[in-house]
Amino acid sequence: MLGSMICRALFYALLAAGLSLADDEVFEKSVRPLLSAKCGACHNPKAKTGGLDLTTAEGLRAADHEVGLLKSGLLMNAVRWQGKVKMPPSGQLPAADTAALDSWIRAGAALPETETKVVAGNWKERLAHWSFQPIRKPTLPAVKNGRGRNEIDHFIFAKLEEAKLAPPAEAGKLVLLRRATFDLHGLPPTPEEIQTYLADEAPDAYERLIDRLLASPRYGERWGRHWLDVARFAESTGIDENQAYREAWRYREYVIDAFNRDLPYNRFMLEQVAGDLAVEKSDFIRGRIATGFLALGPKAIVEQDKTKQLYDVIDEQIDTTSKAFLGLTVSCARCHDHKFDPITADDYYALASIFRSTRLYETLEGRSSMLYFAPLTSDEVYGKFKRRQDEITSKQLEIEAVLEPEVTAFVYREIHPKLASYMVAAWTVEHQKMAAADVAKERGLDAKMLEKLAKYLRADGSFRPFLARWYAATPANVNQIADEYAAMIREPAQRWRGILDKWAASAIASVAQGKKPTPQVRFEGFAFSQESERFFGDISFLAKTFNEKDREDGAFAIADKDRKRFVSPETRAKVELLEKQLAELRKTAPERPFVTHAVAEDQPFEQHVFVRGSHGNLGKPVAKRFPVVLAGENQPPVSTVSGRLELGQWLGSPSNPLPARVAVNRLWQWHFGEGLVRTPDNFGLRGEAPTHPELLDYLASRFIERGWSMKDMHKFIMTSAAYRFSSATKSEAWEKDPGNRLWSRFQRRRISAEEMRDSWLAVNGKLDLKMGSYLDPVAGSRTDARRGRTKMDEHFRRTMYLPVDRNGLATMMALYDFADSTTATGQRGETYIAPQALYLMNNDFFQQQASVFAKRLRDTSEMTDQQRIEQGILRAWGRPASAEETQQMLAFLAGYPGGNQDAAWTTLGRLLLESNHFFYVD
Amino acid sequence: MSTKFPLSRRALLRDAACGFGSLGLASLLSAADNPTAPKSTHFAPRAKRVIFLFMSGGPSHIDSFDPKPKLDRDHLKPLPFKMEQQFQPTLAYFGNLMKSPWSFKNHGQSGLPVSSLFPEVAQCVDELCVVRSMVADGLDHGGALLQMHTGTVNLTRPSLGSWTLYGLGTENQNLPGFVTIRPHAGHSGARNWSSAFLPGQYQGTPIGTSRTPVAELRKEAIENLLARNRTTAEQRYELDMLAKIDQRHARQREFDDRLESRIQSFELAFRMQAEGPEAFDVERESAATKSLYGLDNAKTADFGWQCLLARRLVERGVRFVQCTADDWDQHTELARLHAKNANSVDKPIAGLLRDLKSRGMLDDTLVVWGGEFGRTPFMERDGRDHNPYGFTMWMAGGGVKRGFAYGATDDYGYHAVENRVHIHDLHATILHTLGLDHTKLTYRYNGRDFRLTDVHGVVAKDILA
Repeated sequence: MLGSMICRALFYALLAAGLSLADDEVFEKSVRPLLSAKCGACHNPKAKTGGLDLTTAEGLRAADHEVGLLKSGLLMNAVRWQGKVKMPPSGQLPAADTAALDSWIRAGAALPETETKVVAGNWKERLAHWSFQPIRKPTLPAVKNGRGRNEIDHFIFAKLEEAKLAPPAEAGKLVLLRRATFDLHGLPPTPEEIQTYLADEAPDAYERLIDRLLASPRYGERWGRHWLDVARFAESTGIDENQAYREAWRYREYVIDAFNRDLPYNRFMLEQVAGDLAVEKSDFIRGRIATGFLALGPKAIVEQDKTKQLYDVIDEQIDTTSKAFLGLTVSCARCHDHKFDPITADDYYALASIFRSTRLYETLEGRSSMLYFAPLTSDEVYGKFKRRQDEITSKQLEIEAVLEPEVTAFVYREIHPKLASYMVAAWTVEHQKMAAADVAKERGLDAKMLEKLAKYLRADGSFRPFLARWYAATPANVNQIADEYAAMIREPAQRWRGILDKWAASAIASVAQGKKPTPQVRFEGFAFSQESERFFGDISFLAKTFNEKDREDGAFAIADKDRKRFVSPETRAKVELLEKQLAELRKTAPERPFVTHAVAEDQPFEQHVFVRGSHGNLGKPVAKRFPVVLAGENQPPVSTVSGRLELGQWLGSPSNPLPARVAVNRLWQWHFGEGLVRTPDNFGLRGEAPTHPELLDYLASRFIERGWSMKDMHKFIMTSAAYRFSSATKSEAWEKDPGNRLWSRFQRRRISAEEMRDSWLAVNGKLDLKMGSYLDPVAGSRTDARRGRTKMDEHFRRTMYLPVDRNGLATMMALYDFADSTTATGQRGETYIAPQALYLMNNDFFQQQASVFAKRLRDTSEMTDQQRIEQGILRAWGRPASAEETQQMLAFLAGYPGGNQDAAWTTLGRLLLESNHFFYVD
Repeated sequence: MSTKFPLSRRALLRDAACGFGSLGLASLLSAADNPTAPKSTHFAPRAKRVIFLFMSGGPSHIDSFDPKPKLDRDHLKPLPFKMEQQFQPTLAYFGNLMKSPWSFKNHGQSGLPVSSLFPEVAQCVDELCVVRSMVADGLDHGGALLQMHTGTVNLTRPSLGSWTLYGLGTENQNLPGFVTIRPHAGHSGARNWSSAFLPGQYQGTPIGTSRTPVAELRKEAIENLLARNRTTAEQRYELDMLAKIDQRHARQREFDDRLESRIQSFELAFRMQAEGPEAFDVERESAATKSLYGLDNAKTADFGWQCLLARRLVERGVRFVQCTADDWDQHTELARLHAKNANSVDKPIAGLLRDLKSRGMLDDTLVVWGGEFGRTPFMERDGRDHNPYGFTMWMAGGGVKRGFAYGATDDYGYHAVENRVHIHDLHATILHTLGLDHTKLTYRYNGRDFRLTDVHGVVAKDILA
């Protein structure tokens, strides 16, 4: 069934593609599946009924050579039932199949040189891949060692025993305190916390430590940031215009809050794809904000192929959603069935259909598309606001409709007849070097207009061929040429006036009927290669008309603020009344409601497969549904507009084999540095197999059983013996388990960019723990990364609140392997490059932090230098200093070149905050 | 940047034997412990390094290297062809055909035509391999810049420079191997020099952006390069102490190569700090050289500085250097502003070509010139719109023919019609001159082998010397 479905899909694809595929590919994609499905039962290499094998290139080549199967039309005659032989005997092929065969043969019946494996053959193997099988809760393996602390350890210890490796010792108390504090808060423990924890000798001290850490809002900031990596969070659109997502912080708040309140993970998934549909009415604000997950991806604004622009966004949403929740690279199926995973192009376009029926832009069309914002008020309040905005717009248009025709009439009446005089005067200004004001006065012209016209007419090297005759004018013929130019504009001027008057009349009529007028007409439809139109346009309009930043106002254009001076007293009175009404409308307008980046339901859309991913190449229509490999063939039809609600519910359904596995693997990875599956965003066939498949399933089942609680899972993981293993590596473990796939030690980790900066501020007592809101909006045009950095250094908030510019990450973040905000990032890189060290050696922000740290140590009165050093080590490294360390540092201070103790201490401060002791968590 | 740093190379190799292959194993095996160490090529290279002179915004090919007599003849006539999708969608803004404000003349022994827009480059035309049949997919700057740099119009992929560094390594470990001077920070921004999923060692190092004043960059080219308020002796004293502390830390933590890598990164930084300022200091050049690049003229000083810096860097073993000249986007005022732009780059470019030649470096340095697209033969007010359907780029030096023109656009310069060279083909060709087979230069990420040219790219063999 599935096979024939794929075959159908391919063959429709082929039809629509108009055979644009490479020749071999046509055979592989459409002909071979068709022949195999319809003829292969008899005409295969083994049975070779009638001496024919129609399923391999070899067989077809032979048959063509021997009997002219393809060239002489034998095959086509047979499948068309036109001759004696009618094939397939069970029933004639559908017309589309016949057509596909026909066009392949007509195009030359290209066959591959060498035989390749039939794709359909390994589809079954693909379906059998471990991650697509239902989650089964395994029984606990028996272990001999009694040091296990919870069920996790059964799985870990069993494999260690199998490998004849003894589990490592438990890490020391302070190591665990530092490990857990960084892990859950991304911050070092304070000296007070160290003291308290050391003094706590109760058997459940460690459990209570975990509880305390999980209860703090710092937890949501640290773990929310992990999720933001997956959600490719950023505060600008990236791609072309990099517009600011100025409300993006609301989604960040939502994520932090979700972690802190331990929102069940299935709920978390549902809200992020369909929060606008899935939450209680009373909670609709949260629901809308949650869909920022979909809305905050990279988005083009000025791509001119608007269909492509839209489907790029849809593709990005499919990519992020499938990687984040399913651990699958579904977007590989945009152009063809997935090369490795059992995901078809049909699956892809069935999902695309969901996002295509979702509102993704406010307006897509036009040169620049506009972002969609959802209001964070009730529809009623928002409706009031919108209505008033419409009234304001109508009033503004009404003013334009009253004013503009009359101002135009004035210019036509008073200025245009004098155009030749203005031009001659401008010539005088230019060639006789006279002041415009004097010439204007002498000739009864408007000085400002003359000045502007003279400037405009000056030969400045611009490419304006229509002014060539003017440039060539001589004193003898300048009057005549000026007359010619004045005559030239008559026709376009009249035409424009007709257009303008027509609009004004219709606008006023609309207002009278209580309708919103159409937007003001623009000076369009005029060809700029027509000299008359170009010249008229240049001298008549304000620069804003043309939306060109370097352009100047036309010499005879009258600025908005001056217009009232050029109309009759009656009109002026009328305009003033309207302006008063406008002011009143504005004054009493409801405040602009808060808005957020979100998605919403749009019109239901019938999505077709795009053949080879090209939207100009429509295949068959597909219904909204989820990938067959996970959700089965018989899916109930979606009943909501887009199907996002159903998508969210399906993600969190216990029968879906992937989301729980992917989620617990992520949690495991963020605790242990690596996942049980080491490709956290790829659970497909090219992903890695889990190191402990049973443990993964055990965790996933438990996660679902216990209501998808993330805090519960943290505690379960962190209270295992495995989490408490020492990070020291014994040579035996190193030999037997170099990649730590047996979890034979805790994996030491380098702290992240955020932890680095937050910790510096924290040990200095400077960290501003204010939560929420945003700092600097990320502006698309402000493109100097250096300036961005300086600004960032002025804030002492936690690093996760610093702006993330999708097109220009601040230097420090980029250097220290911050997440790539253009795609779901399940795991950050860990690179070691010299510019990281240069940053520590020379960057002003760090120098400042190090000197503050040193100063605080020295300011601690009543202390010896030795005590100061001990205090410094305790604060920075989270443990007491050894005698050897303090001695070494005292010697360092004493031997400082030149003996300057201020410099020596600042340097010591830097050493404490840049050493590996500070940068690694054991 | 999603590649994990190997816990230990040894661990990796062991794991690889057990089928654990998600790390860039090939590079690790051949490049020993250092991913940017020089590597062997797929076949004998003709060029060892690349200088990419990127004209951001899209210079007009029909006003520079691709003369169109019919455009002159049919000036101001309506279009005799169908208009493709254009960036400015309002047709009203378009006018008819517009001839070039500049005249073309044949130059050099090759007799290749160059317009009066580039009088100095015209003198070097016998060095140029002019490709007049470029094609791209991006109609807006964001997509087009991204494609020119990474091959894709919308995804995050490694930059050409990153792939080059990944394929070849670099010859000077004390300088970054891939440097981009004053890149355009908008229009896909840092993604244009990003290593994406390649390890961070292959990331381009920016020297400011096109909006950073050159004067500031002359003081400190790379951020954090210069020591603040302390002497070299003090810094050495500090780093020695840091090494002592960290080595003791590492001794207590066996089998973790990362700790040593981090210690080494400080030593490398120290050397970079010592060597970098000298490399970046163009003041050390003779007055004659500076004048050759136009540093003595306010109009050409900025781009001259970029070009001269590029030469100093490649001379010191940097593998890939990009210089960017911004603001070639003349929708209006083509004549005035294109002339202004050309005046500021013409002499520096010619200076670079002459200087490389006189130092014997042009033979194994590939110089690439061009923008993300060309411009239309019809007017948009008094300028031209974007044209990815046909445009010109030129190359010079290592591995390409000299005084040679390849491909052609139609009579008006709108579409490439003969020997079309897509950006993928250009990328394949550039890698080819460097001795790299674009189909073999792959990186395994997220279960797939990625290439710069994706599934495309044909080497333009006819332009190879």
